[in-house]
Amino acid sequence: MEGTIFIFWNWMVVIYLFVAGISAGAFAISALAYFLGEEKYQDITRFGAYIAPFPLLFGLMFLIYDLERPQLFWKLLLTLQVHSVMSLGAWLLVIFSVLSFFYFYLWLPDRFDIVELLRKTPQSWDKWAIVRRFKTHPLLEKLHRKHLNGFRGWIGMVGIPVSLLVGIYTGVLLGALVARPFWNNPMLPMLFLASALKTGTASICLIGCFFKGLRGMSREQIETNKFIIHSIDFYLMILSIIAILLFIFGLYTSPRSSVEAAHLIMGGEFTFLFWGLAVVVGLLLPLSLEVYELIPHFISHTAMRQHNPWISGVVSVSVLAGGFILRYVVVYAGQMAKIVTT
Amino acid sequence: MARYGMVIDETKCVGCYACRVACQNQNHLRENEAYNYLEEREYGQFPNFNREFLPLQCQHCDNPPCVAVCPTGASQKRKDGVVLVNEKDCIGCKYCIAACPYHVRIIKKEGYIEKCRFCIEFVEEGGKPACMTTCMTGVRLFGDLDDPNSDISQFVAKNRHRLRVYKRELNTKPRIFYRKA
Repeated sequence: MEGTIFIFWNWMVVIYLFVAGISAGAFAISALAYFLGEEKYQDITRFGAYIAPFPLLFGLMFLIYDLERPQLFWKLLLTLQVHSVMSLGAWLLVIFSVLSFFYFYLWLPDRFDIVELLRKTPQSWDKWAIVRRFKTHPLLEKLHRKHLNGFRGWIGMVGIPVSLLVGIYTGVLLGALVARPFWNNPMLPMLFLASALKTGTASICLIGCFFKGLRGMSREQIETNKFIIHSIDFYLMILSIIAILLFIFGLYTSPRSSVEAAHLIMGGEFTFLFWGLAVVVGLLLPLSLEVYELIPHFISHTAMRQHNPWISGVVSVSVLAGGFILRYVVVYAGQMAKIVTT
Repeated sequence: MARYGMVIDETKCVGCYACRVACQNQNHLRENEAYNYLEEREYGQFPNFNREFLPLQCQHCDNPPCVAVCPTGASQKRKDGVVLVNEKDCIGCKYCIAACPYHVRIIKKEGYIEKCRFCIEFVEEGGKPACMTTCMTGVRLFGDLDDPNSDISQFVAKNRHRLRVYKRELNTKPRIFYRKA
């Protein structure tokens, strides 16, 4: 009993779901690191804050371009349909974008203070009264960074639930549809959330290790940061494995349509992508590397191994690749699975 | 207020596809676009087997998942029960295609989502949907379910125990009732 089944959401949606996860994860981990140790993990907080707004911005371009009528996307923001996860999600993304950009600004080095930058406008502009008025306005002084830095904690506190919601929403968007048995599974949002946090952690680790580089950091600093980022990642891996197992358990214990949908990843078209790439490369490989890094330190309290950027690099790249492939499998398999009736 | 519905008598369908072509004419569709479908099935085992045709189109559900998920409110259910897409508000996010358990929604070349409209402009002028009037074996019956004298109400009253709706377990409450043999 089907009309026409076709792939209507393509790789652009996959990319969007993936990068939205990175943004949400980076923000959440950044704020978490801030609350765990304001000074101690400042590098992680900073990188998380620098990363958070941009992947999502990039993903939104794809999301809008994926619409059949991209020029009408603004209609999403003129209405709120409480029954539509997509409408709720659009508003959630607006809130998240505003928060993450503000958070990004708050963590920028002081030389980027927007008030100071405004004051540096060319002298010749002062001939206009409006520029002069603006520069000397008392409100401008209040917006100075040294007054705003107190908000870091507040933005982080509001931002954690919002970013977790963004991570969950991408799963709920797909999971809310009764008509698609592969998606309609309560474990899917959990799986996406765990994956989002993991990819966020990995992106912080990757940017931290390779783009900033470790020059100028003492061995102690490197170890503290490495230890916390890999520990967070380690717990999230365990959570992801549980979520994946429960996801498959959920498919097998639901009505027949779900069981048939499960065949797509259990012997069907997506078996290799799911088990070979998303699970082995995206989960088990980084997990075993992290065990190698952390377990001696955890159990026998020996000193950490000498930092090897290759291990951290492989861990973060494989986590990112696994997260992308997981989204790919879920988006495509979900569109192929259908309700089976007699 | 009318409460439009349709009965499809599966036992009468011979699979000639006239309804599909009539619908394409009525709604000015392109050749690769269609609002109704025929599913051909074989059942039984040799030598006791047969072939059946199952006409399928938008079910105009009373609890339509496509309306619930629409982020702009373009997909809507009218008071008379017809589910329509307001093409001005549709941004083409395709979420309703994902939500429809009957997979009857298509993307029009203009960029909005469309599906069977029960030929509502035609019906409001007193006509009947094209798929019903064109059918040589009278598979479809369209009418007002609230009017006890309409053909469809009488048919429903007579065949109540034989009527069923598809994918009932999803609680979509379709307005198209199928008569099984």
